[in-house]
Amino acid sequence: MDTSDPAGSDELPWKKIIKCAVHEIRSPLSSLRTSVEILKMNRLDDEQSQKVMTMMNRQIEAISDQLEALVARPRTFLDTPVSHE
Amino acid sequence: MSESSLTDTGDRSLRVLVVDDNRDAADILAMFFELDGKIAKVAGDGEEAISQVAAFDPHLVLMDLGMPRMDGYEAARRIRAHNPRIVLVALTGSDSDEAIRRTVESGFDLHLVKPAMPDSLRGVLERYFPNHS
Repeated sequence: MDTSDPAGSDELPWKKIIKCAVHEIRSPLSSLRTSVEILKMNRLDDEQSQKVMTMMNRQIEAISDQLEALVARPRTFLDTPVSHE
Repeated sequence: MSESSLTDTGDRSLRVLVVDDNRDAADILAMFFELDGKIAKVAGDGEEAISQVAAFDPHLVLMDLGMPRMDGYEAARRIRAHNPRIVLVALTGSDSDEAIRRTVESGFDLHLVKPAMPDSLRGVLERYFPNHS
């Protein structure tokens, strides 16, 4: 992960960026929470369990990607739908 | 905010439509409701949600707000215009006063913020569909 400061980061609207990033990260986090609840029900067959775990991995990747973008490309969050609220 | 009940629909199975442009998010939530004995379908944006409401006739719609083609606000307005008794729940990462105000104005019955607790989802069923939760 590139942890160097993005160019001009001191001048970025960080409050708005953080708000947008939180919004974006909440979606995959919500899916992970529901997935854990589904697995706790212990009523899935092997194929269904595998499908849920594959989806969980994709949601983890999505969170990881969002966090990396927040560090390296914070301006991208200014183009998300919530940024226009 | 409107209240609704299945008691006067005559249906035994609760039909739930989950609308989210994150397909995994929609599929996981639909699986959650199916494991709870409901019939669930998914849609990927507002336009598809309107089509699914017409074809599937759901009792409950859980819908994200920020979606391509047609957002959740506009979809809710159009669905509500023709379905006064359907229960519309916004499920979104937005918890701003502005987002909540807009969901109410668009015809949503409830605004849930992600990450939604499973008990919050069950609470929706208990509140609006006490005979089917």
